[in-house]
Amino acid sequence: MNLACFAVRWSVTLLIGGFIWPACIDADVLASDAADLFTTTSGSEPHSWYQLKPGEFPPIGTENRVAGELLEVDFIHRTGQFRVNGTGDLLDFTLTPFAVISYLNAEADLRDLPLGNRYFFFLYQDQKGAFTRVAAIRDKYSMLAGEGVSYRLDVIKTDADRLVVTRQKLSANTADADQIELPVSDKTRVWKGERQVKLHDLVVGDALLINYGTGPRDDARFCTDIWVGTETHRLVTEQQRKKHHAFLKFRGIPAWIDYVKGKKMAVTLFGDPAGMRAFLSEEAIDPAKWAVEGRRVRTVVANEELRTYNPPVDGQGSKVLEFESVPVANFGCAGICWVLEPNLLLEGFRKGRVVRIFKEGWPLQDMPFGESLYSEVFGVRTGYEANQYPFRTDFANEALPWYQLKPGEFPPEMSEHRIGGELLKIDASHRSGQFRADYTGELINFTLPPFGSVMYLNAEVNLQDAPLGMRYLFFLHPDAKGAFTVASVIMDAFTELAGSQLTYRIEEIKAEQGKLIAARQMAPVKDEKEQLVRPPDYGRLELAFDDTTRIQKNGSLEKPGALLIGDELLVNSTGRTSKDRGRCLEVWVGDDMKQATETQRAKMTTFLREHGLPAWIESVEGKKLTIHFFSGDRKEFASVLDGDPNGKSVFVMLADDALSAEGANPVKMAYGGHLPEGNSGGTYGSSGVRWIIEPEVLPEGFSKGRVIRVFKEGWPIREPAGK
Amino acid sequence: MPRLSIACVFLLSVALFGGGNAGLAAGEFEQRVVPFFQEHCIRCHGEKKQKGDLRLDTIGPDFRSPKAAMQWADIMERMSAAEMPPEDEKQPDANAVARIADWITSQLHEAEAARQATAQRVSFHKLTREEYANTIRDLLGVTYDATDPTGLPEDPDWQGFERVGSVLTLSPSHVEKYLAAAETVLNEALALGAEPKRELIRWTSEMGRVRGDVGKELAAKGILEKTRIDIVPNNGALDAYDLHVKTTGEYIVRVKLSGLRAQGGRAARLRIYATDLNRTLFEQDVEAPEDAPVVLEFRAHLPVGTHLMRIVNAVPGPNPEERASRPLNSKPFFNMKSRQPWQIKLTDEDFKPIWPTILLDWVEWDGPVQQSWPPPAHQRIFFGSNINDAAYAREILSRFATRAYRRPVKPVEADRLQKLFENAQKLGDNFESAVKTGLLAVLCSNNFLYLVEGSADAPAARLNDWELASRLSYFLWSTMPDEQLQELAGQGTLHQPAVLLSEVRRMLHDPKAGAFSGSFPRQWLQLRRVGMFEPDKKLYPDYDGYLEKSMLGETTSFFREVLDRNLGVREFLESDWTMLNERLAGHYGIEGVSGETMRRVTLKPEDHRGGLLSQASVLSLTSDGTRHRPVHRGKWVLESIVGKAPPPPPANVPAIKTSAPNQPKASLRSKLEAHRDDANCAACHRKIDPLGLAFENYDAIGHWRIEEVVRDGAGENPLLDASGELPDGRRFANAAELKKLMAADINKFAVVLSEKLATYALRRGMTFADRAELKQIAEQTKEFRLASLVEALVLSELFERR
Repeated sequence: MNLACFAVRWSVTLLIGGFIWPACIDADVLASDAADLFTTTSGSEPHSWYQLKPGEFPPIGTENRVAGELLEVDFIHRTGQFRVNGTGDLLDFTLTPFAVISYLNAEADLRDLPLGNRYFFFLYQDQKGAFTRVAAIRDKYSMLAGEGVSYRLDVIKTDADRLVVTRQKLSANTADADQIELPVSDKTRVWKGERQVKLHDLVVGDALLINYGTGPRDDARFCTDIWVGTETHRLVTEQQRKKHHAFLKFRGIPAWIDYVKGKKMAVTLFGDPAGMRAFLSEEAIDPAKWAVEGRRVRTVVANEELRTYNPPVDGQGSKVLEFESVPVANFGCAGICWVLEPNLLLEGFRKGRVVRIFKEGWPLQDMPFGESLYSEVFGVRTGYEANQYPFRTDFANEALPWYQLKPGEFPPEMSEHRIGGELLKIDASHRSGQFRADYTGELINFTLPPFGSVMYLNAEVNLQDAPLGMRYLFFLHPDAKGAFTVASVIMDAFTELAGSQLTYRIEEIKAEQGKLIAARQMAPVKDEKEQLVRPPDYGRLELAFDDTTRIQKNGSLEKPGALLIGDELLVNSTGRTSKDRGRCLEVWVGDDMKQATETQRAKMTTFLREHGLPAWIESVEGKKLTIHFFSGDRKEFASVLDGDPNGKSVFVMLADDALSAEGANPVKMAYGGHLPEGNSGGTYGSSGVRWIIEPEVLPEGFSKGRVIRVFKEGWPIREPAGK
Repeated sequence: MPRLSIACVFLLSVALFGGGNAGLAAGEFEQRVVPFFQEHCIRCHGEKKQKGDLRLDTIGPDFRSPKAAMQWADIMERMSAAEMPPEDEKQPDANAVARIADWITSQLHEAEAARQATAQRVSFHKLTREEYANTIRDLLGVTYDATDPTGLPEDPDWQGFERVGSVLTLSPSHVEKYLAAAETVLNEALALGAEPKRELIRWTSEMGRVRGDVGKELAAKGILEKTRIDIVPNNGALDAYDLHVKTTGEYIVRVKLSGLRAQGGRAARLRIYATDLNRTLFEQDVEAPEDAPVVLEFRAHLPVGTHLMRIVNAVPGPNPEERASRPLNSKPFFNMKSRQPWQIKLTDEDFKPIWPTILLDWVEWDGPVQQSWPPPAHQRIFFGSNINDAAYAREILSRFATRAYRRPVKPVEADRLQKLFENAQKLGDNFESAVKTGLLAVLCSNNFLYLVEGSADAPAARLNDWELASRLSYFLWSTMPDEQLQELAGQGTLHQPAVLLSEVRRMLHDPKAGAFSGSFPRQWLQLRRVGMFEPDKKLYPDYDGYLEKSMLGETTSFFREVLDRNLGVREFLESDWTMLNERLAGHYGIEGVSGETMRRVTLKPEDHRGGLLSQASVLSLTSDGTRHRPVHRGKWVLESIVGKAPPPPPANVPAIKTSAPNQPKASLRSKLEAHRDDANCAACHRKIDPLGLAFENYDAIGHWRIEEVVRDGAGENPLLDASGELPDGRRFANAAELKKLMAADINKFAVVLSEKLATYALRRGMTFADRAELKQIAEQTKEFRLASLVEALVLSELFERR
């Protein structure tokens, strides 16, 4: 799996005596305030970029500031994707632990940010040099309000979808000389006090603050929201501030550990300095006084995603020993450093590690299911386990070689290199094909090994049943030449999500743009009262569709118009490029998701009973064969197998590595028993089922490692072709 | 005529006691007690009035009748408690009360000792469970786990001595236990079934940290073998696994592990503890780096069944109940960097250990291990014959009974055993099983379970050679006589002084003499009270099982050192050396001692140690779980060193008051002084307390200190005052000076020690009648050297007397 690795570097250089506009300049920036851009973006030479360092907040001004339209966010892992204004490039990002998000001029969480809006991203390079690490995100509103600036409405050009405004600083009673135009549309929401009003309710002279989004026509920028009057501005900021305060109180104040000496440790709180001051004051926490009084807080271990494990148990009572006011000219530093003495030092109390601080009395509770690290359900497994493997993985051990496939062995999970891409062509007889890798566009030829499986609609299918033109994840292993061409698993997006009990839920339909805004949600889980409840959403994303998108809803094929807000669905899309997130090819809504899976499974079961269950010969002892069945869907294999044939015979045909038994004769063998699964758990391609079978006479060819197809008595063995 | 009647009683008692003891008692009685009673008691407890049904004008100094003894104890208690005389009567002088109380106490002790010593025609001394297990070991070559819950009950003690016959009674449950024990040991010693299969059970991380699917996944990835079991300090019962033992026997246990020493602190300490057996199978400090584990090996005797084994890192640490101490079974442990963030931090920022930690790779249980098959005992018992007939059975049983009874078996006894064999055969037993029935009978016989001395047919005042061999063997080895002793007994030469001396010397050099140097000081000094009240974890966080074991180790190895080097017994009172290991040296603040083995360490005056009295074992056995107890310490010194037990405390003594919050902090000493303002208390406490208060500078677990940490009250902690005065007026400033004063009376101490040795050897209390002889034994020992003292005792007439 390789998400965007391309570094989007973009800067604007102001030369004295004239402007030079790089080709990728953002129209948004051009049209609004040059100040937003020029005052903070720095460094034009690649080698001069500030590099993030453990335990160091990056100085303000060292960031690479990029504006773009937010397309996808993952609340839990604090990641997302945006489209860079101007270039249209897609950029994946990850928030640094200390990242501060400003929305409506107050601190916010990713959950608070509307998708489709444009934001300013304050970026730093990751270890590969790509600008993916976010130190701050700010909306237009916050950029303006942060400088004490608003727009004075001069003229309303309703016919031209334009507002003519002048940038003003009310506190200083100053205004710019030039007017600028704000694009609006009938989709623009106008807010006055707590009410939504119409565009034509605006009055010349109104003080406006705005946020931008992408308009009905791609690339066209327009005001998604306009807030009218200073009282409205105060109100919405206050609302967002309170919302964030509740968020902080629930999850604790994030901080990192500067040092641990003996039993003491120093922590510096994350956050916007002013916002944190207000928050602490509201909570009656005086950081300096608390140190003098030796007050106690609770310190909870967290990870870089600011997620906690089990705060009610982990929370270590900690005495505040010292307070230090630290410089705030850095991103993410709230300016408050405390030296704490916890009751017990925990492994997570190490220099550079993240903790969350709770005031005594705040309810210490677990984060919701999915977000809590005690109930992780997400696919990606990182951390210490990955680096213990004796081979390289996508997450660790870069110095080690990749796992090499071995005859007669199923590759362990995590040994693969995952690449997403669009399936272009297949050769069913050789179980091979070609796909175009996401983003890079590289054409990759692949072959399925005998145990290799194809998953489509959360069911195992034959390669020829996997639709072309659709995006899949390819679990690749190096071939003899070291090229990643051997695919142990090919999996569609439907399966990827369904396998993790995830679906989408439509929140907004932008029919004219061919876009859906959908929440990514988890299946309901049992709470402590054994009631099924759905955990909070864990992300939000934009999905594209057009008239050719097949909508499978209520048991029939529908047009996109049949989609409704609240629909629960899974999708398969086209592949991705550096500028295109892909378009939905098929959408499965509600019960049709399950039906799709069951249909595919039934189809595959029929196929397997006609063509035999693929397996290989694990060992041969005299006439006795130990065979190991393949399956890409281990959980379902029992129902395909339908029990052991105790006291009966089975029929076995020799097959080639592409699982073809063409021309082979079925050999009757006695079933001799079922063996434990051995070390096949956590591997790709194994069903976990092993049998002993024994023919009266062992024909030639039945040797260790050979691929076979196995039929139970009574299954309709198809006459091998050619006979 | 009270005087007359008292005189009559006196005469009668002289006739009854027939010894100087009674004479002296009666003298004291007439000179002190009778006048006291006349002055203070007779008005209400005399001829005219007998308040409370007590008449003192007719009471005599007869302490041997239990009824009279109880009456005297009651009198003493009421006088000591100042209940009598009543408040409105003329109050006696406190010293006079103390003198009377002293006298009664000494008479009661004498009488009790005399009762112990009452000679029967045949006397039976039951083996203690330690002796029973040792005897089984030497008789059958198998281990009997006597202290397991399925073993034998703990032996009651008399003044610390567990082997005094008259207190070792036998109840029906004992009989059942002995029968079960005999069955168990014979099953193991004899090869009556198929040879037990030797099996290897291996515990790995799959037992603990890696369970179910996680293990399979890790195996598939090829990293299961990299996982280990991280054991935090003080893990308690967190790492406990069931061991299924199919056959009782000896097992070789191997443990592969790393042991990380905390920076500047303790080493990790592995303890393997069988919960259901209440037995520590193995305990040792382990130091091996994370990347260079070691394999430890030991043997354990395990009974058949399922045993919950705890693998413990036996060093103090955070509460194991805290989740942070607990492992996470779904997340395997690979190395010190792979621990969960919410677990207790075991390493510092540079990943150097800050807690002693064990990283376990595996534990192997390999057994049962057979020396040979059939086992040696089987081969010895079934010594070989062409025909398995009754005569052969009789010979087998006779030979076995001779060894087990520690004397030649009598024909009538052999007849009985043969009869048992025959009956068993009639009931269908095969030859071996029928013989086993006879062997069972031998092991359940009085003649095996008891040391039998004397004969109903021919009364004897002295032991015969067989009895002498047993007395000597159980004295120095706590087990049955070996072949040489039996041979000498058989020849009838053992009692010859030269032979006896040579045997004592041989026996003291035998490794089995470890039983003496371990058991005797434990019983003499009442060491089984060490750890009886486990010190409070909050007040004494350093205290742990290892320290306790080291404390006991110091005292027993100190004794062993004095014995092996034949040093003077003065060393017990004052010495410039002691025996220490790293743990105890750390506790004493003495540097330069590493490792677990006890070794001789030279002391400096500033170490404040030397002799037995300032050893942590002694100082802690006289404390409770929360504080030191000066009175208990004083009482212990009187009992164990001075050889003069004080009277028991009166009933209803109020607790020592704590200081009010606004009052200055008061030392325990000052509280005690206030407490015993009462003259009646003061009389006894004047003798007891100085001997305890002299050790004020040692806290409840024997730490040296100069101030007393007092929680109640305000202000500074009080400085300690260890000074005092002996009853004879000699003053001392501290424990060191007291030790010197006591060492000056070394001859008295040598007599006391002789008495203790004799009590241990003869399995009875010493009476006044024995004193002169004990004094002589002590005095004839050059420089009061310990081994010489033991030799003198064995060679004395006292030793050979029944």
